[in-house]
Amino acid sequence: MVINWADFTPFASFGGGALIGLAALILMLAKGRVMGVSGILAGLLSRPSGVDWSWRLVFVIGTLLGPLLLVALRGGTEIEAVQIAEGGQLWLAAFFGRARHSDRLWLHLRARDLRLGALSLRSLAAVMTFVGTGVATVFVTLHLLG
Amino acid sequence: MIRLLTALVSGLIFGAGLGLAGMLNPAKVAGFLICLEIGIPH
Repeated sequence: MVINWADFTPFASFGGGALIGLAALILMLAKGRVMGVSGILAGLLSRPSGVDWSWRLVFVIGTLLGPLLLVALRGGTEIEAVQIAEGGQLWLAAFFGRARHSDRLWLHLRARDLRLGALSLRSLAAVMTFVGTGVATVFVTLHLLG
Repeated sequence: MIRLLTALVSGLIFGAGLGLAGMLNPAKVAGFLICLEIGIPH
């Protein structure tokens, strides 16, 4: 197995994951719902009026501004900002694609399985099963079949 | 107003988390979407 050490950034990835989890927790505490970006976008597209629409719009605006704020705080370059915009375009296209085809299973872990913030044992079991299956698949592929 | 502010803060933190984790690097995003068998959107 070859590891691309140049792109191996465990601490940054952990920090980013922690921030995403914090954002999900804030939304869950404030609105009592799981943060599913494609679902939020779907609501934004399908219900263009009312209170339910406004918080979705504000969330999306915050999501777009967050990375730029990070670049500004870190003193990033213009090139980094352009790269982030390109990456954001990919995400938006993927999320919009998902929002328009909401019957497709986009991620294997569905939103309702991700309620770890609510200390759900069912969610813990789902996540452990998901991660365990992934580890077992990699082990079998690399060490038993490879 | 508080609801909107909360949604904004949540969105800001979410976006910053994506950026910090490097998940706004186009190459990483494309790799992630391909890994999930979503394909790169056009």
